[in-house]
Parts: sequence; structure tokens; C-alpha cells
Amino acid sequence: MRLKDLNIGLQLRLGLGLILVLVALLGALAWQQAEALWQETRQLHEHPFTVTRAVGEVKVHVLAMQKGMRELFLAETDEARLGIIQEIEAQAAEADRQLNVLYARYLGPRADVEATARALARWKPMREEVIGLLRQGRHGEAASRFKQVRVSVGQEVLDRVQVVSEFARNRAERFYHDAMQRKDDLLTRLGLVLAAIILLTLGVSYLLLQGIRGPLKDLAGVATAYGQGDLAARSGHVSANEFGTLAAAFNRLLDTVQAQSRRQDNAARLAQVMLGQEELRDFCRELLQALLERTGSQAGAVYLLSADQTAFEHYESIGLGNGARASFAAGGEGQLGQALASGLPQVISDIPEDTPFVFATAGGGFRPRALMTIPILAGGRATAMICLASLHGYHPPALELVDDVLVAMSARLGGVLAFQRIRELVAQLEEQNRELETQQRELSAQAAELSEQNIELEMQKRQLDQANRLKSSFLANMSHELRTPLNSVIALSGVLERRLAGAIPAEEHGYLGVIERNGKNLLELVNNLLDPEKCRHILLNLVANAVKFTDTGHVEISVARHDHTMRVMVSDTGIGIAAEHLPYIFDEFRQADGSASRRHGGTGLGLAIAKKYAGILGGRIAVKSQPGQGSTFTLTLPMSLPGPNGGQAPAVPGWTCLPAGQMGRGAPSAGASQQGLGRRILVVEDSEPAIVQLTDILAGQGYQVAVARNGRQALEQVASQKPEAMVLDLMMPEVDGFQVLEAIRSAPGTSNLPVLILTAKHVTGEELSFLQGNNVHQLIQKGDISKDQLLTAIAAMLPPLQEAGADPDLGGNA
Amino acid sequence: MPGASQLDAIISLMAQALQNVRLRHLDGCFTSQGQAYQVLPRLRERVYFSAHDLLDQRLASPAASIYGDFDLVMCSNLLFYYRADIRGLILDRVGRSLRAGGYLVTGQAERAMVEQDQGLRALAPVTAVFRKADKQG
Repeated sequence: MRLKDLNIGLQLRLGLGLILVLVALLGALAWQQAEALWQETRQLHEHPFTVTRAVGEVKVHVLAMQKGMRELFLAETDEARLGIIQEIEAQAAEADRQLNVLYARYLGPRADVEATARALARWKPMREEVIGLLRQGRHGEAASRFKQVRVSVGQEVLDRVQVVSEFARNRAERFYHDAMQRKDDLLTRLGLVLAAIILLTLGVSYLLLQGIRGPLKDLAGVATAYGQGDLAARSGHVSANEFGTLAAAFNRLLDTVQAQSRRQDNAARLAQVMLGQEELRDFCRELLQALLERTGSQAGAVYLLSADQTAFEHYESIGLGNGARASFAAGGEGQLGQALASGLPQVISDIPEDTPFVFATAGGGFRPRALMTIPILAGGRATAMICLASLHGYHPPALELVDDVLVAMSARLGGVLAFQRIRELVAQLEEQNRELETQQRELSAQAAELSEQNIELEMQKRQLDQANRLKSSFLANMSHELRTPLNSVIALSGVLERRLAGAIPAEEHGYLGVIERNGKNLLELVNNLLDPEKCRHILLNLVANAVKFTDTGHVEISVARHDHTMRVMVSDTGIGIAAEHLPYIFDEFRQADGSASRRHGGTGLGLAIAKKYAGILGGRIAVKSQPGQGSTFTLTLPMSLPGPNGGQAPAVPGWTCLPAGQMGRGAPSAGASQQGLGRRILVVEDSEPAIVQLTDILAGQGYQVAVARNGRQALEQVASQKPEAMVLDLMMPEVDGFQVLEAIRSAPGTSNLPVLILTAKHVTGEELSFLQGNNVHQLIQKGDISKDQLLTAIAAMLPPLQEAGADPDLGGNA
Repeated sequence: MPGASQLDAIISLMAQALQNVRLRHLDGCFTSQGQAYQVLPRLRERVYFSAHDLLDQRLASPAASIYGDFDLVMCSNLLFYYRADIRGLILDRVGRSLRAGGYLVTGQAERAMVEQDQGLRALAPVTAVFRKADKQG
């Protein structure tokens, strides 16, 4: 247990530290053994190996010396002998040298090497002896001496050296075995240490794992259990190390999460309740119930802001007495005041005695221990209040819950209230629609009446027209019927008056005169009444025919007076009438082509009637025609005696005579004065018809007219053509009249050019002063002037002719 | 050209009336596309539309005409909408905007109203075509 309580970090450090120490130990061990092995090897090399090699060398040198001695015997010359002797000595020196090596390296008794050295030393004089003998030529003696030496000393050297060699070999063997032993030791120790390390590592690991994995698994298990729904799952791990801390923290976290989750759950259920209802009444009731349940309240009430926004009125409550049905002023008095002021849910704990919130129970009214007031805001203003009352007081979770759902509740209540309002509006609209429909029906009925009236009026009009036509025909036709008897009366009474003059008494004779006079008056009357109708008929027929048969060209109607007759000529440039048909055109039902067909429309009676009427009026109709060129019909009527206005009174009243020579079209008013006299006027105007008009009247007066259709052209023309005056329009695109005026006034050559403004624009005060400041002769409003006035104004702006030859800018203002 | 579409609109309204016009005359003034008629360009070019308030205090004649002086004024089915005094004013204006010897054509219903005017004489008792007297002197 103690180990378990140790800090994990410490545990880890200890464990790993231990392992590290053991590894270091292993390392040290290995290093040490390796070092020892190396020493052995070095020893081996330095001593036995070196000694053996040296011994070998000595042997080689000794043998070489012996060989040399033999060769000495074979040598013929002194030089050769000398050479060999030198060689021998060289070998002896070498052997000595090797002996030195032996001295240094031999591990056995020094005496062995000394013996070899002595042997070698003894050989030398014997050698020299032999050499001397040889030199002397005593070969035989030399040879026998040599044999002796060789056997005695040479061999001795070799034997002594062999001893050394043997020793060295033994030593080498010993070294070898030692090394082998050492190696075995090393391996064993290493194996042990390694095993120890492994075991230790395993142990430490196991302990550590236990210490770490256990708690981890525990925590993981708790987390999974919680995630799968076991909200009570907590870690059971307790210890003083980090895992203990972690486990404790984990448990606290789970506690928090669980609490949070419970809160959200509550809020969600509450939201569900709120979304379940759309009707205001049901909504408030369900909401209250849910709130009571979830906050642990026993009673509650909902207050809504009144329509005039002055008070909160009771709307719905559960478990409260009548006192709660009172309204609260919106200003925030009493218990609601603080909540309203802050806009946040409040819990009030000290409830005054006279509180309206009283639990209505069978046992009487109880004062609550705590009140929760919840203001519902929309757009920053309180639109409703919810009050909850608890007998036991409120714990933080209750207030937290209310905080959680406050926004949603406000939104939803706002929505439900809006829904309510919409329903009311819909009902209103439906009502209005019904009214409108009624009105529309009435209007339709009226419209129907009006169209009926229209139809009636149409009919009446047709009747009137018909009546008119009948009247005209009647009158026209009646004239003949009336005139015939009248003529008889006049004529016969005239005859009787003449015949019976003197035959009857004067009074009775006078009666005849009266009869004749009255008859003539009556005839006159009839003529005055009836003749215009006939005239109209004749002319209508003639003109209608002319128009009908003329495609291009014109129809001319003219009247002329010759003595006592009036001649009306209707000529056209129509299709004309062939000569052979001319006699028959006045027949009834005849057309111009002589056929009775209706190719050109009409009844075929027009000309017949016209001729008849002309006859009745005492006149006649004549015709002249050229096929393809046109026809002329001439109506000749007798006129009465000249009347008071000097020959102008026509037989047919209602007509105005045209002066002779005039055609039906009006001639342009050719005033006697031709004002223009060839003077050059520039017309600046963008409207095409206005250009046509102005050009017409100005040219008609004899002016030379140039036209500019916009401001730019105007300035160009002023520069190139140098007009004597300008008629200037104001409203033109791009460069307008004002700009043109300014430009010409600022240019030296045109600053005095007479300008007349002719515009349709309503000129403002500012613009007027601009124009005045720029020396405008006159401002004329289009439509506010007559033709003559315009011509007068234009004439007036030009300087008198004698100055016209002068430079325009020297001439005075027009 | 301003007013061309108005001209077409009027023509289409008159389509009913055009059924009584001789085909020859129709061909001379219009081109037809099935039921619709269009005024020929050479005629259309000569027609200029503008808006004018007959009761405008400042203007005796339409501004577009500059000085009036019309050969023909057609003022049909308008006068009977106005009170007698306004009617007189309008007739006065119209009369002054005619040149000497110019013609005024109204509707039959308005004939009686115009006959009272001194300056305008009906061409014949029953017609609604009036002529302005020539210049005196």
C-alpha cells in the first residue's frame, strides 16, 4: 500500500534509476573484464610470443654462423674469407641483440639467458681460432678444431636457447589457460548481472503498470459507464499520488456534468411543454404547471401587460387566492418592482404580511416562504410577469433552471402572444373583407344600372339622329309639296287682281292684293326654311362623291357670284367619268361606270336627288369630266336681289362667301409688309416641328433662315455664318440655350448679337436674372404669343437696315 | 418621334371604326397586320404629339405650336364636360389659336355650344364643322 501511495513520478524515477544503476554496473563489470583480458593478451604478446620469436632468431643466427664457418673452408680468396667473416660477425651481433630482447622479456630465471650468452661468448674465441688457422692455411687443423667447436659450443648455445624457448612456451600455455578462465568468469558474471537486470526490470515494470494501469482502467471504465447511462458511476480509486488526484477530479467532473445534464433536461422538458401549446390560455396554464413542478413551487401566476401598457393584469394562476388576481402597475411597485427594474428573475425571501400572494388551501391562507418573480422581456421591455411561490424556499437549481429557460420562454411567450394578435387581426380582416364584398356587389349593381342607362341613351341618340334625318328629308321633300299650291295661290291671285281690276269693288280687289302678298311672304318663308336643307343635301352629295372617287390629289369647293346667280363648283382629281356615261349619271340607281352595280358603294340615288333639288331651287347642276384626271360639278342657283350689305347677301343664309379666286384652303396670311428683307436669322431649336413652323413664317416674311439643332451647332454657325439675329430655344440636350448665350456673350465678335429667347420652359427667377444680365432682347413663352406678335418681336430685335451693313457688334442693341 | 406609340394606340382603338372605311382608303393611309393597323410612315412623320393644359393660365395655345395659328382644330367630346363659363374660356382659346379662316370640328353633341360663339360659323346648320371668320380689313 505504501508503494501505491508513492508519487508515480517518484516510482518511475526509482524504478528506472535502479535499472540504470544495474546497467552501469554491468557496464563497469564488462569494462573491467575486458581490461583484464587485454592485459593478459598483452602479456602474452610481450613475453612468451616475443621470447619465442627471439629464440627463433637466435637459432637462425647461430645456424647461419655455423654455415658461415663452413663456407669459410670453401673460400678461396682472402677477400671472400673476409666477407664471410664479416657476415659471421654480423650474425653474431644480431644474435646478441636478440639476447638483449630475451633479457628484457624473458619471464623465467635470468640465468637461462645468461648461460646462452656465455655460450655464445665462448664461441667467439674458438671461432677466431679456427679463422686464424684457416688463414694460416692449416686447413686440416682448422677443420678438426671447427668440429670440436661446433659440437661443444654451438650446440650448447642451441641447447641453452632451447631452454629459454621451452620456458616461454610453458608460460604461453599458462597465459592461454588463464585467459580462457577469465573469459568464462566474465561470461558467467555478465550473465548473472544481465539476468538480475532483466528480472529487476520486469519487477519494476510490473509494479509501475499496476500503479498506472489500474487507476487508468478504472477511470476509463467509469467514463464508459457514465457515457452509457450510469450517471452514478464514479471512480473508486483512492491514493495520494497523481492518480488519486485525477480520480478525485474525475469524480467531481462527473458530478458537475450530471448536475448540468439534469438542468438541461429540466430546461428541455420545460421547452417541450412550451412548444406544445399555441393557444395563450393553454400555454400559460401548461407553462405554470411545468414551472411549479420543476422549481418545486406550490403556486404561481402569470400577468400580462395591458394593451395601454400601464399595468400588468392577472391572466392565469394556480393555487393562489383571490388576492393574486389584482393587477400591478407597470411602474414596478411593491414586490414586482425589483424584478421589473432589473429585468432578471429574482427570489424574494422576506415576504411582507400583506402580500397578495397567499396559498389558498382548505386550512386557510398561508404565506409563502419565498417568491420568485420572472420578468418576460420583449425588445427590452417587460411584457409579462410570472410569479412563483414556495412554502419551503428555493434552492439554487431552481433559479438556475429559470435562468436557463428564460430566453426561450420569453421568445415563446412572445410568439404565442403574437399568434393571438394575428388571430385577432385575421378576424378583423375577414370582417373587413365581408364589408368590401358587400360594397363591391353594390358597385357592380350600380355599374350595371349605368350601362343600362348608357344603352338607353345610345338608343335615344339613334332615335334623335333618325328623327333629324327624317326631319331633313321631310323638309326637303315637303318644299315641293308646299311650293306648288303656294305658287298656284300667288299666280292665280295675281291673275285675278289684274283681270278683276275695276270689275269688283276696290275693297274686294284689295283683298286679292293681300292674298298675293301673303302668298309671296309665305313662299319667302318656305324658301328660307326649306332651301338650306336642299342646298346642304346637294352639296353633301357632290362633295361625298368627289371624295369617294378621289384617291390622290385634292377636292376643291369654291363659290363664285355672277350677277344674280351663285355658282358652287366641286372639282376633284379623281377617277373621272367617261364621256359616254355623262348623260346618265343623274339617273336613279346609276353609277359612274354606267352599270347598276354597287361597286363603289352607295345607293346610286345621290346625283338624282341633287339634280331634283337643284331644279326645285331654281337652279341646275352641270358636269365636266376627264377620265383619269378628275371631274367638276357646278351647281348654279339663282340669288335674291342684293341685300343691305352691298351685294354680299347670299340667297342661302348661313354661308360665308369666300373672296373670288380663293380655293378651299386658307392661304397664308400674306401681310402687305414683308418684314424680312433678306436678313439672316439663326434659329436654334431641337424640336423638328418647331423648326418647320419658324422656318415657314420667317421665310414667308422674307428672312434668310439658318437652323442649328443643338447648342454646339449653334456656336459653329454663329462663328461661320455670322447671323444678324438669333432665335434661341433654352431646353436642348448637352449644350443648352443658357450655355450658348453665355458663350456668344463672352466672345468679342458676338457680344452684341440680338437674341430672342423662345422657350416652353418655365423660367425661374435665377434664370431670368441670368438672361437679363446677358442682354436678351425678349423672352417669349411658346404658346403665349400669336404669330403676328412673334413676327413683330423678331422684326423689333433687328437694328434698322441702314446699320445692317455695319459690323454686328458695333450696332446697338435691338 | 414622340407620340408614335400614342398614334398606334388610337388607331387600334379605332379598329372597330375602321371596319366601315373603304379598303382603298385604308390602303392609302395604313398598313395592316392581320387585325392591327399601322399608320404609314409618310403620314406618321407629320404627326407631332404634345401634352397641353387647355386651362393653363399662361398659354393661349399649346407650347409645341409656339403661336397656334392652326388650320384645323378637332375638339370632339370634350366641351360638354365643362361648366358653361369654362367652356366659353376654352372655346375662346381655341378660337384664338385658329388662323383666320381656320376650321374647328367638334362632336354633334357640342354643336349647339359652339354655335353661340360669334367668331365661329357653322358650315351648314346641321354640321359640327365651324369656320373662323377671315381677318377684317
